This record gives sequence, C-alpha cells and structure tokens, in this order.
Amino acid sequence: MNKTLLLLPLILALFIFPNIVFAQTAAEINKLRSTLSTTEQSKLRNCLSLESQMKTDLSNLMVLTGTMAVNLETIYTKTESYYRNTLTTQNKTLPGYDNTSSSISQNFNTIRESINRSREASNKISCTSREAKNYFQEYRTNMGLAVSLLKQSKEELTQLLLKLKDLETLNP
Amino acid sequence: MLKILTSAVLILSILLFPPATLAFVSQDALPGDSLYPVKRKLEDAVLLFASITPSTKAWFAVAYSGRRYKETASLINKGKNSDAILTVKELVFQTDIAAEEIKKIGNSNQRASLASNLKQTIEGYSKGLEESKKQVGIQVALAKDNNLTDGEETFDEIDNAASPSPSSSAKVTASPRASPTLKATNTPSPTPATTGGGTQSDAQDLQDAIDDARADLEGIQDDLDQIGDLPNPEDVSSDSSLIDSLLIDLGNIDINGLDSTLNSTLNKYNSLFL
Repeated sequence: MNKTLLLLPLILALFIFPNIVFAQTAAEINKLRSTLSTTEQSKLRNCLSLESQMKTDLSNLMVLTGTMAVNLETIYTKTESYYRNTLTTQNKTLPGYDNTSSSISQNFNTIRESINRSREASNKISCTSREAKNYFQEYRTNMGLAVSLLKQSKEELTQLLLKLKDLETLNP
Repeated sequence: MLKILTSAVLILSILLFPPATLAFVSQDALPGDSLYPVKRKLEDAVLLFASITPSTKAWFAVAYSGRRYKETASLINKGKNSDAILTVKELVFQTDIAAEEIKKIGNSNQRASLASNLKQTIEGYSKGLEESKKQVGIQVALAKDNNLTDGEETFDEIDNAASPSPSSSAKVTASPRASPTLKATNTPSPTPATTGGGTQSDAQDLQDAIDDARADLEGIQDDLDQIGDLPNPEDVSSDSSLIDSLLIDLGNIDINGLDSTLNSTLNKYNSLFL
C-alpha cells in the first residue's frame, strides 16, 4: 500500500508532464500557424532546426574576438610598460605618444562593451521571437564595431611600435 | 564508522551516476542529437577547469578541434550535409581558438611542440576534407545520372565499401609525464555514405564550405609556422628584441580572417529570420 502511494506521484508526473508539454507545444504551434504565411513557416522551421548551431557559432565568434582583443591588449600593456619604464627614463620621448596610447586604450574598453552588447543581443535571439531580426542586427552591428576597432588598434599599435623602434636607436 | 562510510559512498555514487552516465552517453553525440548540447556543456566545463595553465587549456582546445573533425566526418558519412556545413565551420573556429591558445603558452619548447603537432593535424584535416569533397561530388553526380528515387539501397552498397571509420582519423594521445601530443594518422577521409539526408544544393554548399574551411585552415597553418619561431616573452634578453617580438605577435593576430569569418557566418544566418 505504502509502495503504491509512493509510486503514485511518479506515475502521475510521468503521464501529466508529457501531456502538459505536448499541449503547450501544440497551442504554440497553432498560434504560430495562424499568424504566419507558408514561406514564413518554412523559414521558421529552418531557423528552429539551426537555432542551437547558430547560437554556438555566434558564441564562437565572440570568443575568438575576445581572445584577439586580449592578445592585442597584452601587447599594448607591454608596449606601454616599455615606453614608461625604459624609454622615458632614458629621456627618449615620442611626440603624440600619450594621445595614441589613450586612443588605443579607449578602443579596448569599447571593444569589451561591444562584445558584451553582442552577447546580450545573442542571448535574446530566438526564432520564435518577433524581435529576432532586430537582435541579430544588433549583434552584427556590435561585433562589426568590435572587429573594426580591433583592426584600428592593431594598425595603431604597429605604427607605434615601429616609431618606438626608431626612437630606441637614437642617442639620448 | 564503516556504516557511515558505506552510506557516504552510496550517496556519492547515486549523485555522480547521472552526470557520469550523461558524459559517457553523450561523448559520441553529433550536432542535431538531443545529447549534443550536453556534450558541449561538458566540454566547456572541462575547459574551465583546464584554464589553470595555458598549456592544458591549449591542449584541450586542440583536442576539441579533433572532436569537431570527427563530428564533421560522421555527419558527412551519414549524409547530413546541412549539419556538416555548420560543423565544418566549427572545426575552423575551434582550430583557430586552439592556435590562439598555443600562442599564449610561455614555455617555448612546449609551444613549438604543440604548434607543430597542430600543424600536422591540420594537414590531416585538410586532406580528409579534400577527399570527402570529391566523394560528395561523386555521390551527387551518381544520384543525378541514375536519377535515383530511392537512394538507400544503392548507397548501402557504397557504405559497405566505405573506408575505415573516420573516428580513427585524429588521435589525441597523452602520456602522464610527457607533454600531451596530438598525432595525425593517415587520416582516412570522411567518406560520405549517402546523400539521402540532404538535397543537391546542400551537397554543393557543403563542397563550398569545405573549400572555405581548407583555405582558413591553411591560414591557421601559416600562423602556426610563425608560432614555433616566436621568442618566449619571458626569455627576451634585451628591449630591442622585445619590440621585435611584439611586432611578430601583432602580425600573428589575423583580424582580417576574423572579419571575413564574421561576415560569412552572419550572412549565412541573416536569411533565416522573418
């Protein structure tokens, strides 16, 4: 008797839970069917089948961008340390260094913010959301900004390092 | 005391049984399988624990790139061309991440060794992918010529004659004391057994994706060529060589590659939304 009582909730859960899920899914599908055209449904089916993969791809892009930003920032920190602790102590200074350095540093902050905004947008992307396209566009805009700032920072750092290389060969 | 110990072991076994079973069951899951997200989450968790040292992190990143290759191979074997297209891109992503992680290793010997192993492995991937691209082409041509309506029977015959399982294509081996190494074996190609799971346009897209992936992998290989020669930042003896090494490090950051990957990936998904 006791065993039966213990099993009862389990059996109920086993029967009721799938039914609830099924009923909710069916209701959701019906709601969508009534509002979407055939083309839209086909797009939705494609999107749903690829949603998980798409999110993984978007996440990978953010990881890769973040890794590149960290690598660039490491180079920037080493450059900054070399300039402040070695070159300036030898009375070797580069005109405009502070401006360039601060611009690069600011870029890293913006890159981080853009990646964070992209992450927020990508978390909100869902094929069943009416706003999905907007969030996708937001992701694209922010990631585009991050990548273009990465390019700009790389170029500025390269130019800076070349100037510092010339500077270090000069006699004080 | 023994009773408490036995109870503790029993409770622990019960608690650990579900995750251990999931880990075991999900290890061969492929994209599209219900257990695949579990497999990826477990990978993330392992990578989190492995983040203690750059070398273990790099090693796991390389191993995961091998996993992505196996998944690509299995999907192509099963004729799941649309899933294979996405996984082949993931293979490139993961390999790129592995290369980036290798760059961060401080020990120059370990870095050079891992870079060289990954290079060999990429060569294996590239050959395998080239072979599978040809096979996809052959299957599409066969299907077209024979005007196959029920491909299953015919492709079963091809399946029987298929090359060895792709799971042996990239082996990751680790000895307890020596640094982990990743070996590329003869790399049997992921021979597609059927095109039944996808359309001809999927097959064409897959071939294009394979071409793109091979070009990207070649780019990563070029990067790895330079990694082996990079000086260890901690070993830099003079400031002059510091600037040189920083310039080399900068040159290794392939932002243009990232840009084109970003655009191609986003363009692919753009049309999915309503």
